[in-house]
Amino acid sequence: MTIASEIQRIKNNIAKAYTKCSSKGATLPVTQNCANLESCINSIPTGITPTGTISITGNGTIDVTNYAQASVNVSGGQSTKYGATVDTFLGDIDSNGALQMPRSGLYLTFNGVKSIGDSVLTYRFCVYNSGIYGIYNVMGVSFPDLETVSSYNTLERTFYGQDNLREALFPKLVNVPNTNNFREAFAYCTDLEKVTFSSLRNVTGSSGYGFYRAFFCCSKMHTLDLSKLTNVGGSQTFYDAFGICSALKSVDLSSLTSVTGSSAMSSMFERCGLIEVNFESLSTITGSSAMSSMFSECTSLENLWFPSLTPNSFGSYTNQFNYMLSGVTGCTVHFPIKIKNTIQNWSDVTNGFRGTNTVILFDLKAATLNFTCNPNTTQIYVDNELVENNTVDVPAEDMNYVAYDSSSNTVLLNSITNLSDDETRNISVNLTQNKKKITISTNASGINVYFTVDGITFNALEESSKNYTINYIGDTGQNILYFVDGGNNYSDADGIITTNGNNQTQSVSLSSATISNFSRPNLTANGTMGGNSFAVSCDSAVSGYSPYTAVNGNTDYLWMVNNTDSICKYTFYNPIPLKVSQIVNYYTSTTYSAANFIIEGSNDNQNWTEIGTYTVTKTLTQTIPVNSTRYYKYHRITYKNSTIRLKDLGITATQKG
Amino acid sequence: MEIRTTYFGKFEKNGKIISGIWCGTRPEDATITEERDILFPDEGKKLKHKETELLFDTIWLRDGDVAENYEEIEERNTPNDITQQNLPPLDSGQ
Repeated sequence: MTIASEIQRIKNNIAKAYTKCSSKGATLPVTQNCANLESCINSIPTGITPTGTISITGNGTIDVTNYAQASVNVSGGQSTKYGATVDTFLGDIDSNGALQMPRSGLYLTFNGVKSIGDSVLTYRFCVYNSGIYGIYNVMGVSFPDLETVSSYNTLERTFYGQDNLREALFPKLVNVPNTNNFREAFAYCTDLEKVTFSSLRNVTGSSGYGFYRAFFCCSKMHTLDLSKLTNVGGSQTFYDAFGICSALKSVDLSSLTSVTGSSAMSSMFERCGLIEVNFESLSTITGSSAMSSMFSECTSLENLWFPSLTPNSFGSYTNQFNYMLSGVTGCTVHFPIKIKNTIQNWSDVTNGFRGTNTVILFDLKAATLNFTCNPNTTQIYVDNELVENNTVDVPAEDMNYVAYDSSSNTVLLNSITNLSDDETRNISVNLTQNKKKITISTNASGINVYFTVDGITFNALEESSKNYTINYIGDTGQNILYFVDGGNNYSDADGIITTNGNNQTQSVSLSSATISNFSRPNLTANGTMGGNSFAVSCDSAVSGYSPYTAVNGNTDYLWMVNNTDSICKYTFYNPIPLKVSQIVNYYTSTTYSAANFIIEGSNDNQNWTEIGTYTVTKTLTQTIPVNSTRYYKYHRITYKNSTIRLKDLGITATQKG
Repeated sequence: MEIRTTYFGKFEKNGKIISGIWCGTRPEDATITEERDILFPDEGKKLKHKETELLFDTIWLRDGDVAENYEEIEERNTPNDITQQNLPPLDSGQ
């Protein structure tokens, strides 16, 4: 190394520095020496965007420092839709040509999808032996615009087993017309936490299975929005839909109004973490076993409320609840007092819905009445029942009460209005006030005459020979029914007296009558109801199995009826009134017999009086003691089974005429 | 099988009369108006009347009916025992 060589090396470096400055846009000085280098560097303009093209052929981290506007040119090209690419499901190849597993972290957003047709997404992301095997990369799914799905299988098992999936959102979907549409759609999505059907109102259609096990075993689900769900119909529609969603502590079903399908909500929340559910609007449950096992083994469940049920909520079924609380201990179920008489004897209820230590309270929409009576021996009746100890819980609604004092032969009819929920009302009853005399004047003495006031029947007093009376306190315009039992020597009579604020007398003329044993004739045709001879009819019958075949004396023939509502009505008529003491049902099979039926009587085939309700064992021959106390021309038997095959009807009765 | 008692009654709460049904345990603070003995089969079984061979989920023992009139038989349907670790094979594919 010499001094000259060092001077030359420095000159070369200075020249290189000026060359680079020039490439950066600097203004070069005339004299390019080290003294001017600083001002040259300072002249380089700032803010210039680097440009250039880079070819990206594979996935990975790409340095684009000098290519701020680099255009990406992936070999083969991939488009993105709903947040997914081909690689998402088929996987890419790496730089060595090895096929990789599909990427994780996929969130599918089906923007713009407003409807889905039959079977369009069936099994699409299912991770088991159909669909896409073993790819668990769907982290979430949203259908932000979906409003309708078609009738069949649209999302059946679509995301079955996607156990990295965290949420499923269907915010605009209103109607699901059943038939497997969401059947097992998200079953075994074990990381699923949030599910939204915030607009869903109707899951109906007779075929059912719409949400059958749809979210079964989504054990981390803690948020579920079904707050608008209103109508559920079809068979097993929500069967096990949220079974083993053990993190689910609450659900809003406050809009649910109607459940009509067989087993429609059976096992719906089996083994969930629910603590309480208020069925605030539920007013119709007509499906057989509609809510059976609905909360089975929900071991945290403490309370259920059904405030909107009425006696008309249940149709002809009595097994809607069935095993609703199977495996649940200590749950309290709250019902309106108004349905107490309707459901309290159902075996589902007395079995505690098959829970352990179930408590059933009729404490909703209820009020308490406390009566104080003068005289204090007065009997009070509310809703056709005698009030014990003058205190009773009643529905919080307008109603009548009847007060009766036998010593003064006085009946009072009054109303209670504006009762509110939880109210306790004290009512003073005075039977010593002014009263009006209602009299039936006959041509017979020593017989029994009955008055019926608001459903309560009292024996009239024969105040003078052949004059039968009761003293009445109450409003005008009330209908008081009377029945004159002519005994063994006179005909019977009945009618109505409408109160008018005065003493009233109704004349009734009885004719002589004799009583004889009735022998049922064998018919060759149904005959004419209201005609001159014994006749029969029914609400419906299978063609060729007319009702007279059950009374034709030949057990090779039968009356057969199929009614899905489990109500089969059979009426027999005799022109001479009958007092029935016994009937015998002869069936072809116990399967086609009835365990429950009602017998009613009428003298005009329009206004019916219940003679008795009967619960018996299903046997081929049923002998039923009827023990009617009145003579009727018409008797109607309501068999409660979907199919009846009756080959003979035995009737034991006396006739008076 | 076992016999459990269901109690019908009323109790007072804040001056209000409430009707209730207690299944299995007699309430301490209620006036009981009726008791019913109900025969339950063991889990997964039904009751069969020995004479008629009719099947029942439960039986209200009344009018001289006694538990000895019934025997237990296995129910056809078994409870759902599917768990996460026991995924069922799908029965069909598309």
